Amino acid sequence: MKVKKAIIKNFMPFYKEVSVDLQTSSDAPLILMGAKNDRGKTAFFTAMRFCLYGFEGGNTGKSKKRRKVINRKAAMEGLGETSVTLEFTHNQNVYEIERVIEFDQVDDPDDRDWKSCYVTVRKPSVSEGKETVINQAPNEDPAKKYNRFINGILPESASDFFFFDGEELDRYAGSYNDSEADVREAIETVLGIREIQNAIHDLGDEGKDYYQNKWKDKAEDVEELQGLSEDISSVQSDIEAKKTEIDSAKTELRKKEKRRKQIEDELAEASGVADKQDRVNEIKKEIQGSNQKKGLREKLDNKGSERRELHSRLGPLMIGIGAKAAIENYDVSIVSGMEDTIEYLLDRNNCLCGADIDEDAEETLEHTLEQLQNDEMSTISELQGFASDHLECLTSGDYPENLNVSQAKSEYVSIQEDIEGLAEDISDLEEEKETLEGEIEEATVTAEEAESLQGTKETLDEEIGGLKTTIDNLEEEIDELEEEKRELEQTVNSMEAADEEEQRYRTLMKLSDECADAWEEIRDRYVETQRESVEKHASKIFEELTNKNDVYEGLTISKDYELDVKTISGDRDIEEQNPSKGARQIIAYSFIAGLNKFTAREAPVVIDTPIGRLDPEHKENLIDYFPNFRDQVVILYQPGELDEEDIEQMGDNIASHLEIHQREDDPESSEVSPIESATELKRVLAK
Amino acid sequence: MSTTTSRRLKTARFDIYRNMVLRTARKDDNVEINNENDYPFDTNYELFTAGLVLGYLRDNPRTESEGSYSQDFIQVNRVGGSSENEYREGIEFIYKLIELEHSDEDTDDSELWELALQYADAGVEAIDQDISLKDEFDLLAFIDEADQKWEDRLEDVLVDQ
Repeated sequence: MKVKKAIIKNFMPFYKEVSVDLQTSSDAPLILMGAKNDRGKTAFFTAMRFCLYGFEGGNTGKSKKRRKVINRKAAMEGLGETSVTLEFTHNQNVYEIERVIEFDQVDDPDDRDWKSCYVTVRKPSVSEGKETVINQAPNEDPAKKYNRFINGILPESASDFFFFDGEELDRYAGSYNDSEADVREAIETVLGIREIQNAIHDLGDEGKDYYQNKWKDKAEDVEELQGLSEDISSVQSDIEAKKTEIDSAKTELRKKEKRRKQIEDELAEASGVADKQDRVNEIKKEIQGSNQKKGLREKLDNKGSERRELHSRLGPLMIGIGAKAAIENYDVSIVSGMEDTIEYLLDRNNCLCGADIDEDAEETLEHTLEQLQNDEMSTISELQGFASDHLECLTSGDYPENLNVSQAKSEYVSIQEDIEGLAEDISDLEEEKETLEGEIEEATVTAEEAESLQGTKETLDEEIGGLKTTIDNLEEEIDELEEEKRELEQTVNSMEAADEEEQRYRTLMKLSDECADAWEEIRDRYVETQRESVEKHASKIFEELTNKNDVYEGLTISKDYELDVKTISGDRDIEEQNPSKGARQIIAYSFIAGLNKFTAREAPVVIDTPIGRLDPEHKENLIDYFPNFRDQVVILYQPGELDEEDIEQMGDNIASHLEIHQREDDPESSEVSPIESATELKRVLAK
Repeated sequence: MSTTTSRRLKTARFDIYRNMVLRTARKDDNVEINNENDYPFDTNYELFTAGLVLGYLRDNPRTESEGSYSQDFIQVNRVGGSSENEYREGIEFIYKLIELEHSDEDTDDSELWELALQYADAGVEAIDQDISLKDEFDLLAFIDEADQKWEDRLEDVLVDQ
C-alpha cells in the first residue's frame, strides 16, 4: 500500500474537508508534516489509523472515540459527517477507503454524538468514476469483508510497526509479558509467519477438517454407493429368485398342461365309452324295460307265457281236432234231428210244405227212422256228444279267443314269430350290448375313471389358472424389480465419481495434513531464517544508529522475538543491560527497521514524534536512516524535534514538507498546507 | 262204462313230468326254476292230456308202464275243478274212443283205463323225445300230426262199429 492522498473532513480540528497530498517516490520517500502542539499532528496520525482500522476497544470505547473525533463546529452547524479518506495504490491497483461517522446537529458541541459509522472501499471504474467494491453497512460486523480486505493489505495487528509513536517504541525493546502476546503475533504477522501459521492452521485443522468433511460426505456417498451396489445385488438376487420361481412355475405349468391334454384325450375316449355305456344302458332298458315301458324280455316272457298256455292246451287242442272231425265227418246230429223230424212228420201226416204224406212216404219215413234208431248210430252220437262237450269247453272255457284249433295254430304261429322276433331282437341287442361292454371293458378309461378324470381336469384347470396368475404376477414383479434395478444403476452411474472424489478428498485430506506438517517445518525453518535475517539486519541498523559502537556489537532476537543486546562482553537482555530511553528507542527502531526489511507487507511508515528523547548523535543516525525505512515514510514532528540541518540532511529524500496549522479564519480549526518558504519552515521548526 | 271215480291220472314217467310240468318241478327241491316258460305245462293233467291224445293217435301204448306208476295225480272227474273243462272233457272224449274201440272185447273199465294210462305215458315220452330232438316244444308239429291222424284214427274206431 502506498498512500497518494488523505482527505480529512470534520475530523477533530480539521473542519470541513482537508486534502493532503502524500505522494512520494523511490528517491523521495519522505513526507514531513510539522505541527505545533494541539494543532492536529496526532489528529492526522489518528485519522489515518481510524480510516484503515476504525477505533479499538469495546462498543463504549469506540462510541466515545467516535463522538470525540466529530468536529465541534461542524456538529453545531447541522447534520453532517466526519470522514477520513485514504487514496492509495496496492499491487498496482488504486483503492480509496472512506470511513464515515454521521452525526446530528447539536446546540452544544459537548453534546455531539455519532449516529452511524461505516466504511466504503472504492476503486476506479473501468468506464469512468468509481465503483464501490466494499460497502460495509453501518453496525455490520467489521470482521467480515472489510477486515478480509484490509488484512490482505496490512493487518491491524501489524500496523503498530508501520504506524507508531517514536516515544513509545521502547516497549518493543524488552521482553513481552503475557499481555503483550499480541506483540509477538504482530511481529509474526509482519514477517509473514502469521500467514504460515494460519496456513498451518488452515491446512492442519480447517483444511484437513474441510477435506475430512468432504471426504466423509463422499465416503458417505461411497458408502451409499456400496449400499446401492448391495441393493442392486439384492434386487438382482430377487430377480434371479423370481426367474427361478417362474421357471419352476412354467415347468409345473407345462407338466400340468400336458397332463390336462392327456386327460382331455382320455376324456374324449371316455366320452365314446360313455356313449357306448349309454347305448348299453339303453339296450338294457329296452330289454329289461322300465316302469313306463315293458322291456323286450318281459314281452318275450309274456309271449312265452302265451305260448306256454297254448303248450299246456296241446292235449285239448289235439282232441279238439278229433272232436271236430268226429262231429263233422260223422253227421250223427243230423241223424238225430231227422229222427225227431220224422217222428214229427209221422204224427201230423203232412209235410212242412203242406203236401200230404202218403203211405209210401210214411213207409220211407218209418224205414229211415228205424235205421236212425239202431246201436251204431247211437254210439257215434254218444261220441259226438263228448266231442261236442269238449269243443264247447274249448270255446266257452278260459280261452274264448281260441275258438278253434285253426285259430289257435294261427295265434301260436303269431306268438312264435313274436317270440322269435323278440328273441332275435334281444339276441341282437345283447350281442350289441356284449360288443359294447367288451369295448367298454377294453377301453382304458372307465366311466368311473372318466368321472375321476373330469374331477382331476377341473383341479388341473384351477391349478393351471393359479400357475398362470402366479407367472403373470412374478413377471410383473420381475418387471418392477428390473425397473428398480435400472433406477439403482442409474443412481450408481450418477455416483460413479463419488468413489474417485472420495479418493481425491482422502488424498487432499492427507495432503493437507502432510502440508501442515511440511509448513510447520517450513515455518520453523522460516521463523528461524527470518529471525536470523531480522536479527542480522536489525544488528546492522543498530550498529548504524547506536552511538556506542564500541560497546554494542548488535542485537539478538530470541525465538519469542525478545531483544537482547550483543555487547563485546556477551549477550545481555535489555533489562539486564538497562539502556537509556533513547538507546531503547534506537534498539526499537533497529528492530522495526529489521522487520520492515523482511516484512511481507507493503505499507507506509507513519511516525509520530520520531525523535523524542534521542540525543543528537542518535537523531542524526536516525535521520540518515529514514529514507531507507520504506518507500513512503510520513514523519509527523513537532517543533524542536528537527532543525534546518536535519531538513537539509534529508534533502532530496523529502517528497513534500507540510504544516498542520491553525486556520486563519477559524482559530479552532486546523488545515494542512505545504511549507513553501524558509520563513514558514523556520516558524514550523521553531519551538 | 265205469264211473269216473275209479279213474286216476298217473304215470310211470314221472321223471318227464318233473321236467315238463311247472308245479311238479316246484315241488322238487333239487330243481331250480329259472324260467317258468321252460315248462310247457302248468299241471300234470295238462301233460297227461297231451300225452294221452298223442299216444292214442299214434296207437302205441307204453305197455311197460303197467305196474310202474309212481303215484296218482288226480281223479279224472276232479280235473279242472268242479266245473267241466277242456281237459276233463278231452280225456273223456279219448276214453270214449278207447271204449268204443274195444267195445267188442271183453274188457273192463280198469283195463281200458290202464290202456289210457299207457297211451298217456307213450305220448309223454313222445313229447319228451320230440323236445329232446328239436330242443323245443313243437306244438304245431303235434297239431299237424293230430290233423293228419285224427280222421284215420276215428275211422278205425267208428267204421268198424
